[in-house]
Amino acid sequence: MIGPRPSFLLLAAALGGCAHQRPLLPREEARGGATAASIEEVPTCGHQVTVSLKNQQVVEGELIAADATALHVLDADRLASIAAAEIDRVTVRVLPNSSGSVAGAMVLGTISTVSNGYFLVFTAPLWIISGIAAWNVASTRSSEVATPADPALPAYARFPQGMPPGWPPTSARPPTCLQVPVG
Amino acid sequence: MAVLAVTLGGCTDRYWQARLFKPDTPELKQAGPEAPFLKAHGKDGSLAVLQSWSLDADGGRLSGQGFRFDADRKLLSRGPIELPLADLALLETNRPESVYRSEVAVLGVVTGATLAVAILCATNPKACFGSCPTFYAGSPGDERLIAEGFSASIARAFEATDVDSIDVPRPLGDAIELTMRNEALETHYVRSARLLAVPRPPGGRVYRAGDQYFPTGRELAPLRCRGAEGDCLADVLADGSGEYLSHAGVADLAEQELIELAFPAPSRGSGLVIRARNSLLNTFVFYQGLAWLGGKAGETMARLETMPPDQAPAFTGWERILARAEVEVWTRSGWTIAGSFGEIGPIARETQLVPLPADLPPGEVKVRLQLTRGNWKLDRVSLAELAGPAVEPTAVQAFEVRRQGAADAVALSRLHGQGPRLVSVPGDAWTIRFPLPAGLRDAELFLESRGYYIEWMREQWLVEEDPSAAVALLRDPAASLRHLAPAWKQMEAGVEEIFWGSRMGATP
Repeated sequence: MIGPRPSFLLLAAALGGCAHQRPLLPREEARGGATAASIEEVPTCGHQVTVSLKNQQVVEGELIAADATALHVLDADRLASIAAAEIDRVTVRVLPNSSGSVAGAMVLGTISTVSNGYFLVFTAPLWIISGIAAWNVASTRSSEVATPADPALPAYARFPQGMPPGWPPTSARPPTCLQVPVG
Repeated sequence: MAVLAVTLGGCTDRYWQARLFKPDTPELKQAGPEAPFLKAHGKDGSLAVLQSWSLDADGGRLSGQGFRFDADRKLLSRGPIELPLADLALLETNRPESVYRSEVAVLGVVTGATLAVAILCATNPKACFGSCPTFYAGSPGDERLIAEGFSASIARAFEATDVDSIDVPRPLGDAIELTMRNEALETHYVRSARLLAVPRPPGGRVYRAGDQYFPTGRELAPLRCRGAEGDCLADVLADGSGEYLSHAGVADLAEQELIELAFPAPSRGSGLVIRARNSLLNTFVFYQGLAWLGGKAGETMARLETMPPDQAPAFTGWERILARAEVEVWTRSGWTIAGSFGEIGPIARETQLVPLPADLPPGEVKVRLQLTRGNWKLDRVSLAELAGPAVEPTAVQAFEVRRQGAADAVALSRLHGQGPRLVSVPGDAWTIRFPLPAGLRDAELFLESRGYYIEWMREQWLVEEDPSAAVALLRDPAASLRHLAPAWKQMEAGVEEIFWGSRMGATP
């Protein structure tokens, strides 16, 4: 087996360094081509977000609502209401994150080159380099970044109209929103 | 590509493009055609997802078919829904989009490139590299393939000792280093490996003839060579520039050919020196046998495994056709069999001597080789004058074995024949060092290896399972070789390139 050489590691680092997240697009903007779907597939929950606070803490969960003064995120423990002034940036998951599966494909693909005999000398590095590039693509396309005051942000929330009065009805953590099977 | 698709879970992602607007704006009336779904967000956090909707005449109520959820997104109802616009906080049209995953394209390109190599092996796995342990000599970057061990030992029942002449870089020092590799989809079980050394006579060589080792002096190049493909003189001269390989029979892979050679008269007793290796024909036949065994190959090999060596089936018919070339010499009583060159293996060249009778007629020495067409690659045939009687070789045991740069004492003891066999899998490599005492620094060296190997089944072979054909292969080699001729002829032209490109290397 041929292990990664220093040059590949440098290349990986260089390619990794290329990874930067795009600013959040308004939900009105098209990202692909029209396709067919059933009503059961229409999302009813907010997008997943990672809220990076100025104090270096991070809150992850479903975006419940966003307005000019605060962001409301349902994380694993609670419904967190975070003042906009405390937020550094908000990373919104706009598409499924496939970087893990790309990394898996890269590993499998690299391993599979053992069947290439001596051609492995060429195909294994090709897999590693291309895998890193693909991972970079997969990582950047799945998330976009916004400031807490970004006017596009509320459209990604469960309640784009803002927090409904009286919700949640108790101090208990609201149930996690799942795409309810309605079919 | 299938692995890629399964791993990545498809080539596109779903995205929901959305437009939001207040219920009291005119946009609702224009939203329908492009957006198949409408989400109505209630002031209380509830949600209605509508598939088809309409506004009543006065524009105060929204109605349609769909689902209603509370603020926790618990399903409340399904079916016809009517909503007063006054209860709604926001409306949202949803349009599904298919977003292409560009990382799949990136990996797709590299998959396509590497798959081209794999497909060569997958569609034609009988062409891919295989043949027991390979041995290399020389420094990294300048390695030379010198031998392949026990190629005929395809199961434990066939465990055998194989002796190969080895042509190593000279001058030799006080030790010689060989690398043993497993470069194929096989498991090797190596019982032992050692060198046999015989001091060379001044200006001469030592050749093996069966289990005898003959010192030789002057070597005479052939004057003429003619085989099935025509003049072969340039191919068999000792300069190493050519290699004679005829085409296999079109209708019968057992078809024989005669290669006729003439040599100047030697001044003393002589022997024919032949350096050759197999083409991939017998490898193909072996792999085809495994393919015909298909799912029963394991069971069959297990039976062979458990057979004592004296009960294992004899493959004498096969041995003559695919593993031996007979040497005949013109004597006073006509063409007479002098002996044979026997070797199995398509990778390393083997050199052997066939001693010729002493009472040859005066003048040119005429010999002919009878061999199976397309099964042999001859790159050197010469007439060597014998420099004395057969001599006994000195056995030289390894003093060090290294694997991945570290000493491997266990492997060393196993190659000495102690304990269980040394097992190697594809990609394994060991560097073996042998001492060379002062008296053996210019010796002729032979590698003696003992063991057996198990060929790995390829998935593609299973579809060819045909037990009756496998039985026929054993019982009636002649008929089987006629049956296999068309398949071999179809791949004969390009098989070498695929074979040599598919071996698996490793750094010891």
